[in-house]
Amino acid sequence: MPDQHDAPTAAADGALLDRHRRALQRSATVRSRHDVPVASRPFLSVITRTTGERETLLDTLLCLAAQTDDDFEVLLMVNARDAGVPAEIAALVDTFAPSFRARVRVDSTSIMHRVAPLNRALAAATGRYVAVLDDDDLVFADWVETFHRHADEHPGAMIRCRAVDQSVELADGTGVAGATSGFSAPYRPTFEFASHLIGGQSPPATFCSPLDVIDALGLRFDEDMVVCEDIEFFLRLATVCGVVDTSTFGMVYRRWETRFSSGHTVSPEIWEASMQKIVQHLDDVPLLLPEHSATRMYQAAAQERQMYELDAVIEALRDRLAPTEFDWSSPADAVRYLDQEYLAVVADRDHRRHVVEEAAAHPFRELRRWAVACVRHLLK
Amino acid sequence: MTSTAGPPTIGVQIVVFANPFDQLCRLADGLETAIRHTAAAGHAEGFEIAFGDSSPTPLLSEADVDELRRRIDPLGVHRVSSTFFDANLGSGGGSQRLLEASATDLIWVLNPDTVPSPTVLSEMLAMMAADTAAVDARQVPIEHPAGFDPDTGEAAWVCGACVLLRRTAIESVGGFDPRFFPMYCDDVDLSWRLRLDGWKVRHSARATVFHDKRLDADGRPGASEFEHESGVLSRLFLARRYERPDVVEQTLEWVDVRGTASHRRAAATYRARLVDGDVPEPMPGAGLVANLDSDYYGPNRFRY
Repeated sequence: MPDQHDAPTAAADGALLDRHRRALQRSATVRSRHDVPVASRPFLSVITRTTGERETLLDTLLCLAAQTDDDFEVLLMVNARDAGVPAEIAALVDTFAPSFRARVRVDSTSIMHRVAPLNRALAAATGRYVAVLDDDDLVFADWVETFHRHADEHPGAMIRCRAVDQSVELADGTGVAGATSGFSAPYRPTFEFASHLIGGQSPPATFCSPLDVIDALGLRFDEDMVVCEDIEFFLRLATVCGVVDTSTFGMVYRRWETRFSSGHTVSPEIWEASMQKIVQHLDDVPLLLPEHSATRMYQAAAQERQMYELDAVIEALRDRLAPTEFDWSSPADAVRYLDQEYLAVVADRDHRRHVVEEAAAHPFRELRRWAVACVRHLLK
Repeated sequence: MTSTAGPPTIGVQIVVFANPFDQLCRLADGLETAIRHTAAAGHAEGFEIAFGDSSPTPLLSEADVDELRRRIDPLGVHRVSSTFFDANLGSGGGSQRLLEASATDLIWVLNPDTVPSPTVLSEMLAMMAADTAAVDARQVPIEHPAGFDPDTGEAAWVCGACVLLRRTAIESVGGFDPRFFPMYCDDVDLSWRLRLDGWKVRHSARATVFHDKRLDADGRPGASEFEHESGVLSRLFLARRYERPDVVEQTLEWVDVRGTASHRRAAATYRARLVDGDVPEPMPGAGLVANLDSDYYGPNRFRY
């Protein structure tokens, strides 16, 4: 008999769906956040946190000022140790055109936890949807327009655009961020829930989320998390709202080569712990999965079975093979040993080249598959 | 900063071709910020903003020009005008026509699909040293990969999407060449002629301009068929002018063997205009500054 954790009750599912429905009704009809009439609410609230990096923030604000759809507000959350920074940022905003700067609200906080300004902005936002744009992100001119169009077609859903990566570094002397690479597109073209549990597949600014649903769920960014608070937030929301993919590349995620960033300063252990926390949070609630999830779960299960098969074969081989310097408790070492054996007896270079190319595309899965082939060959 | 005493006067030139009006409004809003910032700092004075219209029919009504004027210059201090060319002069030809109709110390050439940042003009002005004929800006969100000296900003050429030019320098080399029609490489050609004449051209990384370019389905800066055609045609023009008949020959061969329909149209246009004598003439000795071995016509920092 399955335990309660594995089998959420129908009542729990019903309550979840009711909550979702109520939120969508609120979003689509007359009720609005904080009693602001719907007609007065902008489509989007853009939340941007900054510690005062004026040069990169100028680029980001310029991208916003150049949007083809101006139905948005900007909540600029200044979180700086230096008391003079908020005034500098406000002055920077004032240099922009009146039509743009009238839509920017500068909010100053003093050394709050880095996540706290996000929740403060969520509370202050008046948009029907919300997006988080970092102060070094760049967006294309149709970023808001694309979100808006898809949100109108799919009310209540999260909208996701695509992103490219570009390496940047601060140029000596000027302090300006300069690109050092072209674009790469490392993120999945479509949203897939499971892949986000393993690694970042969507920079925050790729999402546009319905604010009324966020309110109805009482959802806030987890201020106990050091990193990955955005992934946690968006995945929890995605289980309720679903995600509509757009094929449009909406943003450039700038990857810093040298500048201080969480990618450089947070240990792998903290990253892993954060991801585990996300899984724990998701374990606490029943999940609605998107279409095609059954196929992906089947494929994952098949892969797991294959891995189990490999482990069993390695166990059987252990006594037969000569002692080596390899640690047999380490699957990686076992595979490495088997690889050497395989190379010694197999001369089919074309096949090997094909396998290597495949392995490069799908390293983990194909490495396992390759190892199975090695073992089978040795057993002949 | 310039050869004239006191703050320089600046003429802003925008050549349009059937652009959406809301696009021009965004440009106008950006212009307002840049002019306000520069004028307040006393870095320049006497702005003239000129739209040159290459559209088949007049793009801007009087009311449209009034609206742009209101956005660019709410205090009514500067001159804002629009000229209908009644012909498609291309980017180089249109820029040259506007240049001849003005008399400001400096010329700021802008694409209609750009939005200037508040500080872009001040930053370009700051780099306009006495030996400098042209300064261009850093584009976002797609940064141009052309190389430049990080200390001096010195570059092989400057991009015409947003560039500040010294009138005396460009007039001394004959200005824009309208034969680089319809577009592309009129800026490379002007840069190389300025350098041949002893001037420096520079890139200001601190000067930021938004340029509304998008990515294709593969996440790469996209180019339309027309842009591909113009790219090949302008490459042939450059190769002819800058003493590289081998590049002309190789390019035409490549088009014949591997080119698309757009490339073949470009090759056919080149051959026809060669017969008509409507191509840039070769300049003896000009190959000294040219770099036709690079796709980017000079050193590049990275590739897209």
